[in-house]
Amino acid sequence: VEFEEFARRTLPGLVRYAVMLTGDRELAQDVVQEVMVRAHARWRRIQRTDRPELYVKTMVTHEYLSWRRRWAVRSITAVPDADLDRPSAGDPAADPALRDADRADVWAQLRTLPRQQRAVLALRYYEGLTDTEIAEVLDCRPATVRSYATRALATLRLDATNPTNAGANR
Amino acid sequence: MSAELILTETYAGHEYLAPPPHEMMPAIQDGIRTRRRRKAAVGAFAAVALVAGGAVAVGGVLNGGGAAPTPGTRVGAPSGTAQKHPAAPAVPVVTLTAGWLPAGSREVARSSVYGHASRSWLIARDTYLTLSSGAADKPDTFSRPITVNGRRATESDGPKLYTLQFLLPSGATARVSISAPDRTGAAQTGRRVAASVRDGQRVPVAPVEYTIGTAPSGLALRGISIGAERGTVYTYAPAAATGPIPPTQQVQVTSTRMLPPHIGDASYDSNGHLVGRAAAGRPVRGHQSVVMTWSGGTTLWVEGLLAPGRTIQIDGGTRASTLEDLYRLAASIRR
Repeated sequence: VEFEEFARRTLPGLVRYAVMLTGDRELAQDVVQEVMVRAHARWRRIQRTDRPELYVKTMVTHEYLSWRRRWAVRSITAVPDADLDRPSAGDPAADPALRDADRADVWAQLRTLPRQQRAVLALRYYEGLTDTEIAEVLDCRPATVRSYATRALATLRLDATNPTNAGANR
Repeated sequence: MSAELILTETYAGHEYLAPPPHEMMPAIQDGIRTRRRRKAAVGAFAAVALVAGGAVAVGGVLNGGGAAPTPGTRVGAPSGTAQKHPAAPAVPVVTLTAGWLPAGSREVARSSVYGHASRSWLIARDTYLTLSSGAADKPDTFSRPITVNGRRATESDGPKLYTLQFLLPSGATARVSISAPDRTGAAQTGRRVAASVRDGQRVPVAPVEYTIGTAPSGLALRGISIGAERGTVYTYAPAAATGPIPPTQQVQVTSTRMLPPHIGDASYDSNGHLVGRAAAGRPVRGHQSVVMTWSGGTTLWVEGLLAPGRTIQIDGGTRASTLEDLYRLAASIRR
């Protein structure tokens, strides 16, 4: 497979994943662009791997997690504390408008999480990867993945063990 | 409602944020071309530096201030020791000047590293013009031949970058690049600037904000970059090194507004493998430092050494320095 063909085929999914990962359209574009340029340079090696798409997705994840890039965007994740403590305005499950507002809140709060935690949530709930697969992507143990997820959900005030959780921060 | 459903809905509800892939392809192709160009340029510039004697010093200012040239360094001390600046053997300069620039242009960066010189101006909102010298780019699909002041030139009008390059009487290639979200008029501006380019004036590249009292053992100052955003970047490498100089063989000192990484933050190599985590270092003149190993060396950060909110970052390649060298370098930094 030529790189151009690979890029055309995988770019839509990669960009969407990068948006979920970063929470930021511009940063997602930047990350994917940089990774694709690097992937082009090492394409011969990448195309010999079992799953080139997963390989490049891992590159996107690490590009985002890298400390160099983290500095550049550290300032964009602030959410006022008052928003985090806002009392419930009703049952969001019952009202579509409230649900939309709730999703917006969750989205905003995702951006305040530490990057590893955000990556775990995006890989688990957007990409549908198992904890073992996520551990491979992040180069850590599955227990660490679970720990990141637990802490992230606690921060978001979402309880993974409670199916009736009203969710979010209301 | 379960956490899984809430998050799945949240993610799905924000897919619309993803930029259309067809808008990204030109930028990726641009990036691939730029990478190729840089790769080709590094070798050529290193060769130029060797011819020039391989060692440089510093002088001059970016914003027309009156700072006196700072002596440069050429170090041949035995390994494991740091040495005070000896006499300056050379001065990093840029020799290209533009006789015409758009009204309101403001110089934002100047650098001379391994003999590669460039100057950048902010010429309009989000629009930067860079004048540089070095090896010629390979022609690409956007390239077309034109004539500037009777000289043969090549113009490339890519999706995000306009470039015009032509040969100087010295044999080097001059390049005018304009990067802008909207490049309407970029070709006209680029041609006019190119027509006004002069070569031969020696404009020094002087450090701003801080100076370094010692140099890493066995290394020479090979370049300085100054920029309105980044402060001053010093590059040290073996004086006699030829060809591309990898990060493992050089030491770079940067002043930045970015904070050091948090303790425990991870560093990955280009293959995505974990290679190190940020750890607390020892204090430097009373300021806490952070140390992190990366695939080719170690980085030392000291926040607040120059001023609150400013961080000194020292990247030391494994073959160029030890952590002790980096501490000595940090301790010698003065405003």
